[in-house]
Order: sequence, then C-alpha cells, then structure tokens
Amino acid sequence: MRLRALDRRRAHARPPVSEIAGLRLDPFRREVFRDGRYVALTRKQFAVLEVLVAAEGGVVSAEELLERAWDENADPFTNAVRITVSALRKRLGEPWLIATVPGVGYRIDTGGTRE
Amino acid sequence: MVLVNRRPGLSARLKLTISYAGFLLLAGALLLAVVWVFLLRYVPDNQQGLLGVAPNQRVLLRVFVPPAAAALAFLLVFGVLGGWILAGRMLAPLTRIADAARMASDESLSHRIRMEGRKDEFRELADVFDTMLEQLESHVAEQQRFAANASHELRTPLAISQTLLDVARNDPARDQRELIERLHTVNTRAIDLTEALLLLSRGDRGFTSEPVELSLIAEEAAETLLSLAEKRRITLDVTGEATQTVGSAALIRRMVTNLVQNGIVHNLPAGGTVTVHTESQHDASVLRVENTGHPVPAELVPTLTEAFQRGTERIRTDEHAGVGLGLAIVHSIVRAHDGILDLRPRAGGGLLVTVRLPGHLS
Ligand SMILES: Nc1ncnc2c1ncn2[C@@H]1O[C@H](COP(=O)(O)OP(=O)(O)O)[C@@H](O)[C@H]1O
Ligand SMILES: [Mg+2]
Repeated sequence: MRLRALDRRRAHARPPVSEIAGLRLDPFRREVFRDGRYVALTRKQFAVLEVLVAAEGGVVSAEELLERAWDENADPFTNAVRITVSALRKRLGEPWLIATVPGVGYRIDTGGTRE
Repeated sequence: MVLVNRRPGLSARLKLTISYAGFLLLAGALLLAVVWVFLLRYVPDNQQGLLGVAPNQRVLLRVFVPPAAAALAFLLVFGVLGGWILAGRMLAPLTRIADAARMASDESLSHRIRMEGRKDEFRELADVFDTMLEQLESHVAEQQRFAANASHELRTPLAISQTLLDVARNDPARDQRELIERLHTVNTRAIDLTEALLLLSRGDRGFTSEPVELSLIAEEAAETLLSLAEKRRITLDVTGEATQTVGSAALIRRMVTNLVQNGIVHNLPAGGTVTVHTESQHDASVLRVENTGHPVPAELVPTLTEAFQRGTERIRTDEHAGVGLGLAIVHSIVRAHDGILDLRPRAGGGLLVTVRLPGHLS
C-alpha cells in the first residue's frame, strides 16, 4: 500500500508528457516519439524541442532559444541555434515539423501538410 | 623470479648416450641370435660333427663366443663414447639458447643468439627465440618511454601548483580567488591527463557493447565543441546519415570528441573548416573528420598515433594543445572495437581521418 502511495506521489512530481502534431515528448524520461517511432536526440536538440513544444505552435525567437536551452554565457553571435535546429529538423524526419519564420524565429508546424 | 624446484635427474646428454649404446648392444645381440638360430641349426650335435669333417656345436661355441663377447664389449664402449660425443654436439645449440634465456631473464634483453649454420630444428628454435627477444625488448623500451613521458607530463601541473602555493605563502595579501582559480585550472588538467593515461593503460576490451548510432554522437561532439570552434573562427559542420555500430557509447564519444577537437585545434589560425561526416558503407559504419590546416608531412603521419607524439607546431601556452595522447587514445579505442583508423594528409593542408567500425543492423 505504502509503496503504491509513494509511486503515485512520484508520478505527480513528474513533468507532464506533451503531445503535439504527432509528436510525443516525455520530459521526465527525456524521450521523443514521432508517430510512435522513437527518435534519439542530443541534449541540446532535446532542450530546443522542449521549448518549441511548450510554445504549442507559437513562434520562438533564436535569442529566446539560446537563452533557455544554452547556458547564460553563450556567445550571442553563435550559430549554435541554427545548427541545432537544422539537425533537429533532420532527425525528426519528413514531413518537416519545424518551420522557420524568416527574421522572427522557429515554430512547430501543427497544421498544413499534416492531418 | 620464479625458479621451479625440480628433483635432480639425468642430463639429456647422458640419456641420449645410454640409449645410443643400448641400441647398439641390442642390435649386436640380435644379430648374434639370428646367427645362432639359423646357422647352428645345420650343425649336428654329435661327436663326428658335420660329415665327419666339420666341428660340432660345442666346439663351434667354444671358439665363437669369446670373440663375439669381445665385439659386443667393443660395441658398448664405441656406443657410449660415440654417443657421448654425438649427443654433446647435437645439444650444444640448446645450451646456447638456455644461456641466452638466462641472460634475458637476469639482465639484458639485448643479447641475441644469432646461431650460424644451415637450417635445422635447433637453428629454427634459436631464430624464433631471437625474434621473441627483439619484440620483448622493443615492447619494454616502449613501456619505459611511456612511463617516463607520463611522469614528466604529470609532474608539470604539480610543479605549477607548487609554485602557485609558494607565491601565495610568501605574499598572504594577494587575492585568494585568483589563486584558487588558477589552481583549479591546473588541477583539472592533471585530472584529465590522469584519466587519459588510465584509459590508455586499461587497454582494450573490458566494456559492455551496445548499439551506438554514430551520427548522433558526431552531433553531440559538435555541440560541445562548437563554442571552441567559433572562438577560433572555424566552421564546424556535421553531415551524412545515421549509421549503427556496436560498442561502448562512452568510448566512441571520447574518440569522436578527440578527433573533432584535433580538427579545431590543429587548424588554420582563423577561417578554417572542420567537417564531420558519417555514413554506412557495405557492412561498415564510417566516420570521417576532415579539417583544413597547415600541411602535415606525410612521413610524420604514421607516428601521430603514438603516445606523447606531437606535431611540429607546438605552442605550450595553448590550453587546448594536448600532450599528444589524443590520437593514441583514438587508436586504442578503434582497435578495441575491431575497427580501422586511417590518417592521411590533405593536399591543401590539414588532415583527413577515417574510422571504419563494424556495422550493426538496426
Ligand atoms: N586534425 C588534425 N589536423 C592536423 N594535425 C593533426 C590533427 N590531429 C592531430 N594532428 C597532429 O598530430 C599530433 C598528435 O595529435 P594528438 O595525439 O591528438 O595530440 P595533441 O592534440 O595533444 O597534440 C598533433 O600534435 C598534431 O600535430
Ligand atoms: Mg589532440
């Protein structure tokens, strides 16, 4: 009995699993599935995807990604965001899930080609 | 040294001599027995003898036995003497080999038998022994060189720490934070070095194998090293496809990190590129790390994977200029994974490193 209670409490402490556009992101186990298929990601790729998923399809600027997925002393002129996003996009496969909004940032493409 | 305590026994020379003489005697006795059986059968055993002219058996025996015994005695002496000399000559090479072995275990590995003469079993043994001594000697020399280099490199950060501490003791008013910061840097370097040495000395195997995806590891390595690359204004690219191999993810990560870091550090002062590429080829997983840089002399390339071997342009002040263990570690990791490491200089300068690992069907 006590074990089960502990289990329930621990389950509550876990951040919730998010699902968007066929994507399933489990922040606790750091796992991502697309259409049921496991996708292996690097640490930064996962962190970036987490921020994008949390925005629920809204646009996230490169500066914000840099601030939230990298540490505070990251070089503001780094290409890290661009490189990581393009690698992440490739890893998630087609149809492309992450859209670039020129001059503004990135967002998860929830509609459009899918459905 | 372990000396097996054996009970004393006959020497091989004595044994051989005894068997020579023994065989000789046996052959002589056999011959006599044949003569006895086949010849004496036709000699009558009565008073007249054969047709009344020839001697009978008793006479024949009396006349024949003494010279036969003398001949046998001579054969015995001849067999013992000849056997002793012959066995001595045959066994002489063994004595030399034993001497060389004793010398190798007591003092120097540099002694060689170098037996002359045509090829036979003993000469062959001597040659094999010489080859073995040669390999042992070079192996031991390499170990000594490694230990000397390792202790020298380890002493450097310790000596720097000592100096820093001395300065701090003589001048207590100095800023402690700066001291701690510098001690921390020096200490980190010593730990890294020790870990690299441990990794190398642990050698091969001894890890649990799991499926490993190379392109993911390449991207991870690029992620951690991107800021270093950008600081040096070097473009770092990861291209290619996912490819599965099996092995230790931690070791393979270490291997890729070392290669990419080399590509960045041993590059042009600015404006260089490093490209990391992964792909499957037939049954193999291939990783290619290519970078621009100063020309690398072709004759230098094979030596780069030796421990503590550094290229020519070495700047001590550079915190990322390693001690020359990076490629040695890569080499030992590749070997442990049954892979092939290939280094070749690029035409315009820099290096192209190819690692081929056994593929894994996913
Ligand atoms: N990617 C590379 N491009 C050019 N030279 C290289 C490269 N990798 C290694 N080298 C040369 O090989 C030497 C040995 O490399 P390594 O074993 O990693 O030692 P370290 O990097 O600590 O000097 C380096 O000092 C350098 O001269
Ligand atoms: Mg190196």
